Amino acid sequence: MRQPRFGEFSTRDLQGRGKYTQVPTAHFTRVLRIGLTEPRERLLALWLILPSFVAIALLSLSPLVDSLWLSLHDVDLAVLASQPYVGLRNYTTAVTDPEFWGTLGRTIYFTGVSVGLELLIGLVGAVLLNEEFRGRSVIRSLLLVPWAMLTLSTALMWFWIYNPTYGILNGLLLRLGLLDTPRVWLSDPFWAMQAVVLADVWKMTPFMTLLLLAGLQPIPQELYEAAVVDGATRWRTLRHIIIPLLKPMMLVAVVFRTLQAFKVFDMVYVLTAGGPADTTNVLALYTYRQVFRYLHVGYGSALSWLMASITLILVVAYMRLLRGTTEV
Amino acid sequence: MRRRQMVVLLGAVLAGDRLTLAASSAITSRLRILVGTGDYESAARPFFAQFEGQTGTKVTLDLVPYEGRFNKIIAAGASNVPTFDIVRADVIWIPQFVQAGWLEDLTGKLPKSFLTQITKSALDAVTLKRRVYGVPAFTSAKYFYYNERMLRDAGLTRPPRTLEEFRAHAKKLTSGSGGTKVWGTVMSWVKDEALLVDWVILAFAHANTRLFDDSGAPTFNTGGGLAALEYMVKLLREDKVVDPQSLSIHEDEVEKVFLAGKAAMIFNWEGTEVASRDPKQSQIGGQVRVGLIPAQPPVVSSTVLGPEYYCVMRSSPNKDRALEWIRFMTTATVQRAIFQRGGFFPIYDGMYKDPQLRKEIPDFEMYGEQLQYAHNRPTVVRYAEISDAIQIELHEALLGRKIPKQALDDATAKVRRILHT
Repeated sequence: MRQPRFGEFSTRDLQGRGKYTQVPTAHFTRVLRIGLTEPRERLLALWLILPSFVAIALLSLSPLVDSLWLSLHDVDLAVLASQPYVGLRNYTTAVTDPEFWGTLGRTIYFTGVSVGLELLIGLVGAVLLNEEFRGRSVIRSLLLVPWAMLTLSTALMWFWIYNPTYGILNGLLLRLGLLDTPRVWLSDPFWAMQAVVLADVWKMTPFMTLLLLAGLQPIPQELYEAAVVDGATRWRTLRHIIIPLLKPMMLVAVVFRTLQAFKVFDMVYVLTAGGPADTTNVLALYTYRQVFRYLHVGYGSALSWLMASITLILVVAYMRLLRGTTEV
Repeated sequence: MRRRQMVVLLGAVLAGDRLTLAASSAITSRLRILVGTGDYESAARPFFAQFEGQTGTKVTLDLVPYEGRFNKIIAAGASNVPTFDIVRADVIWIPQFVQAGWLEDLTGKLPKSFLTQITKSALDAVTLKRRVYGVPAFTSAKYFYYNERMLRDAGLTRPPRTLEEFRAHAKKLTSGSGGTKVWGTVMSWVKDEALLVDWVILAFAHANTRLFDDSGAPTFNTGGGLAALEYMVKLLREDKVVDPQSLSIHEDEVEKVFLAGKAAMIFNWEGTEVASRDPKQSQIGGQVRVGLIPAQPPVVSSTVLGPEYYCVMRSSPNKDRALEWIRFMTTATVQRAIFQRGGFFPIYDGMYKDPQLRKEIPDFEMYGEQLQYAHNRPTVVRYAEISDAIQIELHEALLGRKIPKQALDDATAKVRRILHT
């Protein structure tokens, strides 16, 4: 018999549950059908959703439409003479500007390395926290602390950790003999980006761990026991049981984190402000500067739409991958 | 009983109404002013209230942090709605606001006798095409601070006066290693405005230079601009007398390093000497002195101004009353009181010779003397964008990824693109 994938029930599991699963579905379908066919009910439903619709239209759709309009016009608040329609010029300016590609490259690097490390460390953490040991619940609670902290506070904390004179990182590495002289992490073009990545990994790994831990919970204990009986090592258990069953949840976690990491702004803004030189300037910071510092509102809006489009492509790609892992 | 209660209630309502009417009749006009959220507001707050009491003008303050204030002024100006009568603006924003036509031209509306008393360079910064667009709320500039004891211990009898002396002093003062390392100097050379300010100071310290020509085209890749960057690179990479964290820190952190006794000489805004006397902040109490920023002879010294200005919005319906408020906040009495309460330096040259103030602040006259050598950052419309473009290239040279000439040539090309010149 084919082993059920994670998230599926075996035929035996479903026995005796059909009634439970079927009745509510049928019930709700009937209620919905009645609701949609009765004119009075239908009108009431429309009235009930109207406030939400208006709120969404005002708060989400209207700025979206407005920013699209702005992206197609030459809107520059420093020069208020006119706002001529320029078609796709703002978009072509962006995609032909090496600075845009530079910031995009750095954003992709930051996203890839951060999310990769978070997934790796998060997986190890989740597997460990899934084991029974004393103080497990305390550690699970403490794990939330970095994630619950404001990004601004985290960035400021890491700013001091990286301080070459007083920072704990240099202190530790010097004591361990891994450094001869204090390193100026945030002034070094290579290390500055790694420093931002590390701060982000510290903050966001707990989120990844918790998601993966939630994914580990439903894996039946019997599978682990069977693996032990078959003489599987821990590595083989991880490779052949845990990772395949955790794959859908891993993908969900990676989707969440990729979308967040792609928009990284505050961590970079506080830690390096895009420097040294331009080596940590990421897409969100570049867009922010175009709009709020240089007042190129039209160009900045086009950058926002480009950023949103890239994010959308990522989402679609992930959704396809996700579908691939959950299809029977 | 109920009827009696009703009469009392009606009477109370009418009396309240009369009181409200009386109160509102005492208010002759209203002013809405956009200010910051820092120590200046705390020091100046009693005078806001005093103005209300004296004139009957109701003053409503909008307390907004630095970055937010820029955006608020943009929104108010662009919409042309009379949101604010007066705004407090950073010197670097003003050319852009003037170009957009949002600020009232104050030329001829303020007496000449009043304007001539203000530090000339501070007024020059807001004088565009001979028209005055603001009045400084306080004076701010970068000064040279040194640790007198460290200099003495190193056998140095006086602070450096020339840039070559500064290099030589810094070499002598750099000593130790690891946790006991002391640097000749530490600078705020993070890729931010602080870096640009120091570069401009050193550009003018090298020569009476011009960063932009009369047509507004950039010329900073030659003369003082280039000499300044070459000098900075020498200090940092060749002499190794600048704390390398300088490339990632602002003035606040520079002050902390200096007050911890980890660096001997710094450039910083006013306030460092006062902070050095506070044992909670400083380990070098009584050792800090103020001198003129060194320069290359025949230039005596150089500094850059960074004050904020009170400007009247062109859309304001209360311009006369707004000017009255500005005059009140810039009277010698109020300026002196704000200086004593919050350490914000007065805008009048004459006050730096005041015997009472000289008693309160050591080297007070030196601050006044430094202002005589003050310069302004380029008064260009797209200042923020131009400044960022130059900062990146300055950093490229400081990191050793480009030679100074190449970095400034690249910066010039970027600025030309921004200005379409």
